[in-house]
Amino acid sequence: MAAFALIPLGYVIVYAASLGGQEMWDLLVRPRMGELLWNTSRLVIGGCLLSLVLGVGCAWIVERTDVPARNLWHVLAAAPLAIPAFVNSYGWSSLTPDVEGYTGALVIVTLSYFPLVYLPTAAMLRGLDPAMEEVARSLGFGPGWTFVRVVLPQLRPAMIGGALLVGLHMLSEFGALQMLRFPTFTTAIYDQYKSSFNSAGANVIAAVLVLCCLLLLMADLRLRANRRLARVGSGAKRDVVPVRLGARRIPVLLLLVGLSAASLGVPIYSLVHWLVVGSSTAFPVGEILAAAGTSIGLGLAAAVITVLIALPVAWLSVRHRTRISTSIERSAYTANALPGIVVALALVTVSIRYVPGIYQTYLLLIAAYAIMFLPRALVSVRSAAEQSPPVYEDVAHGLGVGRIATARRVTLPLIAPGIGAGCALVFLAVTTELTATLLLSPIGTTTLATEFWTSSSSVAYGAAAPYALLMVLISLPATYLLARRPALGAGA
Amino acid sequence: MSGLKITGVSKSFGDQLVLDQVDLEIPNGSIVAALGPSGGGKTTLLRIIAGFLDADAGSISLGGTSLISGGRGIPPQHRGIGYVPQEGALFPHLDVAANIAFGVRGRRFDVDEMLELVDLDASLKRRFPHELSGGQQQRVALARALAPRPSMVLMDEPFSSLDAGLRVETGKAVIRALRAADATAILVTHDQDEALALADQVAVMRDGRIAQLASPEELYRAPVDAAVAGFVGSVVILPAVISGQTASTSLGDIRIPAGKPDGTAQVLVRPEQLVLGAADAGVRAVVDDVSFFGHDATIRLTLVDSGLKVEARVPGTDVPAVGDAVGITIRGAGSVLGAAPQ
Repeated sequence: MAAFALIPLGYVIVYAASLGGQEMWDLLVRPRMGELLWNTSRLVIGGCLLSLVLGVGCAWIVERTDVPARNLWHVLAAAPLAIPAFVNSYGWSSLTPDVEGYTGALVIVTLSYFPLVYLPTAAMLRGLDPAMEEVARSLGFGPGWTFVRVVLPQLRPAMIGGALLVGLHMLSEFGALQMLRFPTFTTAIYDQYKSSFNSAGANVIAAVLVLCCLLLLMADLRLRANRRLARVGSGAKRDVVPVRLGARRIPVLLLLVGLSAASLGVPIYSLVHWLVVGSSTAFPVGEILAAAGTSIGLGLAAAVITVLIALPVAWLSVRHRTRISTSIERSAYTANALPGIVVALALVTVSIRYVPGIYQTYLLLIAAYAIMFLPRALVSVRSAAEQSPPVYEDVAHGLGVGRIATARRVTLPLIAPGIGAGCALVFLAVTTELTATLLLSPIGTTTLATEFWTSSSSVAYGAAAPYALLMVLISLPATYLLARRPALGAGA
Repeated sequence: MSGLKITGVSKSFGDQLVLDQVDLEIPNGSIVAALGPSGGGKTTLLRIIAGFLDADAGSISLGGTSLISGGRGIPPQHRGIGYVPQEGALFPHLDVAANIAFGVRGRRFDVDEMLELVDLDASLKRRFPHELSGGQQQRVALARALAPRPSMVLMDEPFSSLDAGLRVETGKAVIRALRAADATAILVTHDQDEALALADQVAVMRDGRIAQLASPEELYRAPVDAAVAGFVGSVVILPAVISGQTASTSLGDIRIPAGKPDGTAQVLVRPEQLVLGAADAGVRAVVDDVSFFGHDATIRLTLVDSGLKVEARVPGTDVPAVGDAVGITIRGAGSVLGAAPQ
C-alpha cells in the first residue's frame, strides 16, 4: 500500500529514460539550466551553512550559558516554524523590494528553516553528559575549545540531520523564492508547467531536481556512516553549570533580539500593518471562512488517510522486521525527499494518462498530501508502536483477555498519543502547503494558502493578510508539538 | 610539602546550606576518601575543588598556590587538577589513545606507558569507548586524568556503576596507579567498604561538615559518635560506668583507652568482638534471630539479666540456632563515644 509513495519517483525515472540521449542533452545543456543549477546550489549550500551557524549558536546560548530568560529564547528560536516561509517572505517583500535576489532569498528562507537545526541540536545538547565538558575543562581546555573539541563532534548527528532537512526544504521551496524573484529548479518547473502544460522542459528539470535531492540524501548517509555515536553510560544527570556571559551578555542578547525580530517581528509586523491598512478595503468574511473551511476539511481528510496508511507500515517495521518491511518504510522516507512540485507534476501527468477520471479531484490532491507527508505520520506512529512492545499483549492474553479486547484495552491506549501527534502534524502541514495545492486542487477550490498566494502575487498585500494570519494561528499547535518533542522533527 | 589545604569553605544552594565551614588538609601523595550519605555535601566539595562550582566563602590552596579565596577562583582549566567522573565520561568520538592524550600538549607522550600504569593491555588503544567494559572505561578515564601530570586527582563515585566483583578489582588497580604516579587524590564514595579498603584517610561528611577525618582503622575502632560508628559498620552500643581504663557494662568489664573521665558514658564495641560460648561461660543471652551469610552470620540476642538487645557476628562454621542459650565474652577493647578522637 505504501508503494504508491513511489509513483512520483518512478514517473521521473521512467520519463527521463524515455527521452533520447540527444533530446536529453539539448534540454540539459542550456544557459538557463546553468543559471538554475548555480542558484539552487548556492541557495542550498548557503542555507545549510547559515542554518548551522544560527541553529547551533542559538542552541549553545540557550542550553549552556546564563543568558536571561532562556525558556523565552527557546520558544522564540522554534517559533519561526509556525510562519510558513512564503508568509515570511511576504512580510519582508511587502515592506521593501530590496530583499529580492540571492542575499534576500538566502537570509529570509534560512530565517524560516533554521529551527530545523536548532531543535534537534538543542535537544541533543540537553541530553549530553556535562561530565564530559567538565573533564575537558580539568584537562586544561577553556569553554571555547571544550565546545569545539568535545561538544561539536557529539552534536554531529543532530547537525547533519537538521542540515539535511534544511537542504531538502531549500530544494523544494517555491512560494518564498517566487515572491523574492530568485529562480531555482522548483520555481522554474512551476513556470514551465504554467506556460506549457506537461512540457518536456518541466519534466527534465524535475529529474535534475530529484537527482539533487537524492545526492543530498546520499551525502547525509555518507556523513552518518562515519560518525561514532557511542553513548557510554549516562552518568549521573546533573544540571549544567552555565557559562557566565558577564559583559558579553549585552551583545548576545542583542543578537537574539535581532534574530527574533528578523524571523518573527518583521512578518508579524507586516501582517498587522496590512491588516490595519487593508481593512479599508473590503474584508470578505464569507470568502475567508470558505477558504478556511476547505483548508481544514482537506487537512482532516489527509490526516486520517495518511495515518491509516502509516499504521500498517509502522507496525510491520516495528513488529515484523524483515527486508521487505524495512524497504517499504525506507521508500516512504525517500518519497518525502521529493519536492511537492515534483509529486504534483507526476500525479498530474500519471492521472491524465491512466486515470483521467480522478484528475482535478480532491482524491488526487489528498493522494499527493499523503505521499508528501507520510513520513511525518510514520515517525510519530512508529515511535508510538515502539511504546507498545508485545510483552504487554502477552500479559493481557495471559490474563485471559482476547485479541480484540487486548487491542482495544491495551494496544490502542498505548499508541493513541502517537497517532494523535501524527494526525496533527499532517493536518498542519496540509493547511500551509502551497505548491501541490496550486497544481492539483480542483478548479474553483480556494484554500487559505492559495487565496493568500493569489492576493499577494497580485500585490494585494492587505487582502492577503487575513489568510496569512489564519495559517500562522493554525500552525502554532504544530510548532508546540515540534518544540516539545524534537525527535518528531528530526526524521520528517 | 604542602598538599591541598581547605579552610572554611561554605556553599549554599538557595537557602539550603550544603557545605558549612569545611576545613580539610591533605598531604602530598595521600589518598583520601570522602565518605558520607547522599546529600552530605561530598560531591559539592569535590566540584568546588575542581573549579566547576564557586564556593560562597573560604579558601583553597594546592601546593602553596591559592585556587580560590573568598568565592570565585581561577577557572578549572588552569588548576591542573585531574577529574574522573562517575562512569568515566570518555569522549565517545575519540579512541582510547586519543582520549588519554586529550589533555597532553607540547611534549612527547607515551600512551602505552599510561595504559601500563592503569594495568590495561596496549592492544586496547585503538578501541573506542563503547568497545570497552565498564571497568576498562574507568581505568582509561583515570589514565586520561593522570596523563597531563596533575598535582591532584578527584574521583566522583568512580566505581558505583560497576558490579561488585569488578568494583574491587578496578578499585585496587586505580589505587595502584595513583600510588605509582605519586598522586594526591580524593575519592568520593558512599560505599564504606570501598572507603575503608582503598584510602589512606577517610573523611566522613555529614550535613555539610566533616564529622571525622581519620585512618580507616582508627575510624572503625574509635568513631567520634554513634552516627559515624553506624555509618562505617554495625555497632553494639552499651551504657557504661567508666573507671580508669575499665568500662563496666551489661556485657561485663570492657577495656578502654586511657584518658577518659570517670563517670557514665556510652561504650562501643563491634559485633565481631562478641564471642559466643557455652551458656555458663560469660554473660548469659538468648538467640532471637540468625542471618546466615556463608562466611559468617549475624546473630541477634537478648541479654538475660538486663534485657538489652545486642548483635554478634560469628564465623559461618559455628552458628547457634534461634532459642539457644549462649554465654557472651568480649574480645579486644571498646571505645568511648562522644569524646574527641585520640
